[in-house]
Amino acid sequence: MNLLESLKIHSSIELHLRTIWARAYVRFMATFRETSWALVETLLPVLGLSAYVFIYRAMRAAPEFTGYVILGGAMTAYWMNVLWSMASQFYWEKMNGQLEIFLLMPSSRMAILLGMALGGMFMSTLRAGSAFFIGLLIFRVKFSLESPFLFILAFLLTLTALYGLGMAFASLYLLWGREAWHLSNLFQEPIYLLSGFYFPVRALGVIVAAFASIIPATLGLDAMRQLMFPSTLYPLFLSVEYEILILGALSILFLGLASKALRTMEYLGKTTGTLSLRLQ
Amino acid sequence: MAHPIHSFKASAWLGWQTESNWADPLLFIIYSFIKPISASLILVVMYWIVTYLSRETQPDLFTYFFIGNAFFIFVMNLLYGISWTLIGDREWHEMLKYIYISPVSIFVYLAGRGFVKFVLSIVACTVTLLFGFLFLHLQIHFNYQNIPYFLLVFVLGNLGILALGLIVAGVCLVLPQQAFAIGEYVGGIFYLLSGAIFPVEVLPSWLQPLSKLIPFTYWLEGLRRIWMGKRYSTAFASLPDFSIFWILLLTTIFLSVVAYYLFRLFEWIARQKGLFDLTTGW
Amino acid sequence: MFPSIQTVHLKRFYTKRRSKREKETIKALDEVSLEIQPGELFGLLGPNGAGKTTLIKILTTLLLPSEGQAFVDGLDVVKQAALIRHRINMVSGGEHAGYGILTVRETLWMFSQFYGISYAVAKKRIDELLALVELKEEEKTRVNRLSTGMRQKLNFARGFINDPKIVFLDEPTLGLDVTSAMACRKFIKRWIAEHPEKTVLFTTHYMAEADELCDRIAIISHGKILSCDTPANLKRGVQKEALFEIEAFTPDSLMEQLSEIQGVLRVSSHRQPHSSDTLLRLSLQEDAVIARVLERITAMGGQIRLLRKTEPTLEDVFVSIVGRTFEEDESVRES
Repeated sequence: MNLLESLKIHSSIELHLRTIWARAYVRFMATFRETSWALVETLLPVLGLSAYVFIYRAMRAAPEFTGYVILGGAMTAYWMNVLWSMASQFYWEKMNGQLEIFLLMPSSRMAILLGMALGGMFMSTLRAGSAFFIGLLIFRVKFSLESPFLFILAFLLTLTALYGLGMAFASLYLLWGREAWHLSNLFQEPIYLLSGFYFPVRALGVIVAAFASIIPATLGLDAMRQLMFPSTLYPLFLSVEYEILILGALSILFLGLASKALRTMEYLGKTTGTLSLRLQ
Repeated sequence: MAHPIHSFKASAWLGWQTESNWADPLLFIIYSFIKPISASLILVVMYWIVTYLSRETQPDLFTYFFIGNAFFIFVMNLLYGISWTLIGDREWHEMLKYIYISPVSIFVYLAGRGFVKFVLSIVACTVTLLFGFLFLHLQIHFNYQNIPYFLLVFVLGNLGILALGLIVAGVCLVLPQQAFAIGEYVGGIFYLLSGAIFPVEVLPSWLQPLSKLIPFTYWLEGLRRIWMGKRYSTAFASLPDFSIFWILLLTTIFLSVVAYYLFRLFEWIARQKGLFDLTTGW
Repeated sequence: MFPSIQTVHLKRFYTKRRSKREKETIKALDEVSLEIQPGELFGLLGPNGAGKTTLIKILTTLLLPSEGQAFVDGLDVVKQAALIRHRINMVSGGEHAGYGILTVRETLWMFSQFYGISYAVAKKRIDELLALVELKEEEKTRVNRLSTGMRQKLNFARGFINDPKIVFLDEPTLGLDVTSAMACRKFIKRWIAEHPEKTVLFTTHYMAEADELCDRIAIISHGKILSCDTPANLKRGVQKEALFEIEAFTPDSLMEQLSEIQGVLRVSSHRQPHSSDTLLRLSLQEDAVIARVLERITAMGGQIRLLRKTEPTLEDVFVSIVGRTFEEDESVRES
């Protein structure tokens, strides 16, 4: 490789890194500058998941179920972020008339999405973390985390795969108008149901659970529940090791898919002229 | 003022256009069914697991939360719908200022836009109840003589929701940065406090008085009594039906008056700060 | 008969946070007193940030004044907003307003209903307006498929759907190409000619546009009305000065040197595109001063390409009143 080529690669990597940082920065700043979010982002998510805790109590369910709800309820923060701030983000940008500006920049779309993902993860972690810890504290959930390493690994792989999926969706949404908004809306409750955000997914039956595993939250939640509550009463789906392996594979799959889909959809959008169509 | 019926019809028509125009009718109907049924199925699966483990069924509790959840669709849809109307008109369509400088009453306009949500909620609620009745053995004991009473309670509750929607819309007007999430969060709080899916007595004792201040608690209790044919929640066991009705009526009137003045206040603040044509660029 | 629009010592402040502890009060409008009579096409001329939009927002009931009073058609904008809304409408430029899913005709019909217009009247008026703004062929096109110019034409039609007594046009040609801007001006002229009893308040920062359209013009800068008269009278005010334009290749320090010459009242310079030449605009006490100016330019090594005597424009009026050009005034405001 000659000097010129290596310089080109270096500058392109630098451009990507700068893009990622700049896009993530917007979200970091959105978190810190709007301090009124603090209350909204910490207390209200706990209130949201509390309804599910109380219905389990009304059903006289075992205490582990409270833990299941808190973990699932906390993880909804990431799913919401993936849907509304990743997948639909290009749609918002289109509505604001900013998408065109993004698309004429030299930086890669993947870098922009990665920046959004990192910034979004940070915001969502604040929200999920507070829901998780406040929930554990208020409802006095007992758990035993015997393998913190596996727990963290399962968590990180779930996030990688989830945000990869979000990026793939984002490319799809490049082409769409209000359908995108409605699709995100549609992906809320049905996915909470299919991925078992509030109950062990095995309850849906092996076949449905297997199909639902395409959504990374399904296996991620199941693995984390197994690791937090080893003596669970209800049969869980697969063993933790398998779930982690599949999550790793899903991460690679979705990131690759996102990269390819992004290029295809941008091309299609440019062909059909829907890429910069506002006010849909 | 512009003719309220004309304005209402035009707003409702606009609401329908923005609501449904993105998809062909079949897709739109499927979409309108999947969401509420999924939300109910989450609770149903939770119930199945617990009954499977404890080998003890609680059919009354099942009916209790299923009906509560089905009718709570109105709260979520209307609250969310009205606040989003305002946000969308200001942020994306940049039309709020033109609506405001026209003589149309903003209340009529929002009610018209919300009406579509109301109709869609009727569809979603009916589908959910039918689904429960046909496939989940939902035990309904609806006395047909109660239809007028049901309609009265039903309409009263929805007026209360509309009033709450106005308050939320007013808050969105003056807190633009939070506007995107407020409807959802307020809905979440009422889901927890109004006994939508579990009896109020399950809540910690310090939260129960709050629950008893909310009109929707009485609305859902009244509706459930009509549909279940009995009283389930011990917190309201001693309250006869007419007391539930009167409390609902009075709290709704109170909420409507508060909503009117609060909205006017928020409007005033928005005029003071020049927020009608603000776009946050989110 | 009361004026269509009247403002009395109108003030509007905004509070801007400089840091967490420090707040700054910005005067967007400062003691604005105006009277606009029925039948007038009144222009408000000023650079960006001068306070034009703030004034329009107050008059259209979208913003409350901080102090003073404002009346539209004799009604108080603070206390009688609901009554005012029957009588007015507004068109703002440079925005993308519209429900993209609706067609052009549907949009107009919807707004007609918000003004309580019967179906028959609405249909007739929509037809007329569509013809007037030349959008008849696009009536079934969705708003999001319209070009910027077409969308602004639709916005114009919407602004006249209720046959308003008083229309506020806030920079209506902003961002439009020459043809669309011309079509908009044509529409305004035609409308006012056909409705001589109506009033238009028109804001712009395009001088020629104000000159072409307005019966009277108020010059606004930094929230203050500095002068208010017919375009002819405003220009007559600077007519006694001798105005010259010189296109020349000049050294950088020339401007200062020229202002020091006795008899030179004002000099402004504009860099010419695609050349290294500068266009100098000079206001002189009398014609004879030009000889000294030319002498100085030549002495400093400048090369004169063109010299012409000019008639005063509204820009000259603005410069003579404010002491700065529009661009300079905007940058002063920004700083």
